[in-house]
Amino acid sequence: MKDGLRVAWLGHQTAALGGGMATYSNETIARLRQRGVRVTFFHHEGKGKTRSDPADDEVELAAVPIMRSLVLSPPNARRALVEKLEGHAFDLVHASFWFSSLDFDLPRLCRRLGVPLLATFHVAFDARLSLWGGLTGAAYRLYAPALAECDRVIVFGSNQRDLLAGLGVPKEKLSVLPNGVDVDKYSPGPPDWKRKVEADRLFVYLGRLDAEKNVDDLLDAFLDVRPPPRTRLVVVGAGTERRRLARRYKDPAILFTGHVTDEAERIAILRAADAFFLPSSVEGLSLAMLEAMGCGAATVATDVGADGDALRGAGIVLDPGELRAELRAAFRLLIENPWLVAHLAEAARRRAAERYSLVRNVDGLVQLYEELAR
Amino acid sequence: MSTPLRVAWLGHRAAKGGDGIITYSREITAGLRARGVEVVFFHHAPEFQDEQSIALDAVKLSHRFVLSPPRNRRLLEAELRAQAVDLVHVSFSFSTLDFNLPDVCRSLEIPLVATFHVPFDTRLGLWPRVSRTLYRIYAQVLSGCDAVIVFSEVQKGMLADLGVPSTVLHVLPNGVDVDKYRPGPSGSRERFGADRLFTYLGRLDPEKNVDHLLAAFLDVNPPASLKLVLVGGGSERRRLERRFDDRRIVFTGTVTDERERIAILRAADAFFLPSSIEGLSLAMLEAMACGVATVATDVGSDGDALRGAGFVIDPDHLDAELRAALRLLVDVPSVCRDLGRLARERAVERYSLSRNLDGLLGVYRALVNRYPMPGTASM
Repeated sequence: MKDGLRVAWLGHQTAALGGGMATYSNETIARLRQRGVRVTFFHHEGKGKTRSDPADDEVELAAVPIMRSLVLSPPNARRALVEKLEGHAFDLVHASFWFSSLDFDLPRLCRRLGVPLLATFHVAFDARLSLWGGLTGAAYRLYAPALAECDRVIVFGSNQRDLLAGLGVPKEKLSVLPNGVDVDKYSPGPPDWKRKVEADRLFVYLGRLDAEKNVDDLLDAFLDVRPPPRTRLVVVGAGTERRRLARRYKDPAILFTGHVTDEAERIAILRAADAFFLPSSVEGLSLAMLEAMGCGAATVATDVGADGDALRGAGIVLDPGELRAELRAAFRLLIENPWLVAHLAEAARRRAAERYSLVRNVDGLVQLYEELAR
Repeated sequence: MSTPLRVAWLGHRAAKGGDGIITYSREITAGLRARGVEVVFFHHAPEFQDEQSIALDAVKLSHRFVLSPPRNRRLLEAELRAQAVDLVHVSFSFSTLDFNLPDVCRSLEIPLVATFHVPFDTRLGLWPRVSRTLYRIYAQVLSGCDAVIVFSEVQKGMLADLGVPSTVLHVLPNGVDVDKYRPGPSGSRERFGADRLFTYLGRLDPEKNVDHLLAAFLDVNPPASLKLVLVGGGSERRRLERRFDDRRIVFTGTVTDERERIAILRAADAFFLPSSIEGLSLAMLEAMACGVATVATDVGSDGDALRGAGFVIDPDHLDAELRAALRLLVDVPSVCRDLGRLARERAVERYSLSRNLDGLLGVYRALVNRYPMPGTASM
């Protein structure tokens, strides 16, 4: 590759704001740097101040977080960004959308500076008619004009590409490049964590506890099937729903761990999981799901965003319109057929390694950078 | 054995061999004969008149409900005496004669064995209510038998609760000829123009819930190369054909040729039995023996027979569970292969015909020894 390609990366750094998007930024940047790409990471973690580190590979922009992953950038943040971009002769800007209210200025800004702009469009969606589908449809319509002005947009699957193409983003600007997971780190291993929660059979939800994740339906379905003794459902993550859920579901078979920041512990949980559940109404391509698959957990997820396509043939795909009933059916299938858990665990791991490895993703990304920087 | 045992078999016989209750009589009588038992087959099918069988007059209300004219009782009594049988075995429900049989046999001093096929479901619902009523009606008759063959512990418990002495109740699950019904090559996929084949095999009657199966199949939207083949006739056939007009769904009608049924099962990747009530489905056991991934509702004894070797569906959540099972089997073909292997193992281990015949002969032997009559076979 071109020596020392310089990339300005605009993305989320910590899970508190970004969730899976933060993982995406941190993991991808680390890999890009290993390959000699010089990345400057612009993010929002400053306490309202803008500052950059001496090495200039990290810039904090002042920000006003309005809600989870929705950030308002004050004018001084915009000025700081412009100065940095002008001062450093970047070969390209890669923004992980959504980033902030700056998103909508970026195409014009980059054009003025003569720097190509690449956007990864993470916004979750469901192409069906539904409440969440309607909300995300609105977000897609809102973003489509800005995306159409980018030089290239990375999407996760062909249905997301078709959705954006339908909203007027030129098809030749849309590149399908699925998320990747470090399949060496996220790999099957000893299920010791099961002992910690005294479970013989362990089901796991791992992700934010927000309304669109449908954790209620998951917990109801789990209790509906009257799980046998020492069968536990562990809910890992924090979010707006956490306290309500913990109050409502006081069954000893259900455990709330809260947010687990330690990656080693997250991996230990996924390795111990017999099955991983993701019952969301909307998704992009869930990194948590790919991580679970990498760890060899039998995976059950709704057919939304790019998740259904990623899982089909390697796990249990659920119709989000019949969520609770299908979740119940999935629980019963897995509880009554232990061999199926092993079978799907293997299928999930194989799928993650074959199609969703981080190496593959970074290969594709570097290739795109080279095309655009030329 | 020195003198062969002579058994009067009262059962069902028909040219159209699709139904489980007919298969039961055919397979068991053939198996008994192969083991040296002399079987005189009493049935209601006048088209079969041969040395080894006696056709009784009957007014057939349906294939399962037969009215016997009063003279049949005298006729049967005379025949049983003339045939000098050691034992009577009736496959219930046979006819309105059912209710006289204990008296008839007692007066002739011949032991009476009954196999009680009436399907059941222990849950609340319309079909279970119908079957429970039948159970109550029959409990009386069964109490008058010397031995009653049932399919499972659950069924035994139900009848014991209704007053049938548990000493006469023998759990003896149906058996299938696992040498005839076994995995093997088949041309059926090509015949139906399919890469993968799912199948339903049985009567198309309302309690079989075939419309739920077809709706779930279409919901899951399988590729055109996957076909669902429905083998069987019945009261619902024309309605289903009209309602589910789709190129992926094929109705063959009744298939009487057993080889053809076996060929279809061998080509099948999955077999579905979504009934509201069942006894222990022979069609299901045949599919399992052919190594077909099996999905069936948890009714009658089917759930117990399948659990751990196939997908057992909760009949109260029929649609969602069918959809989930179908989607998994459509999406992940390797699951079909694993399930097929488990099903075959289960059928061979627990539901082989020879196992069933061993058990049956054991029951016969114990009874005949208890009725030491002059001229009785010693076994």
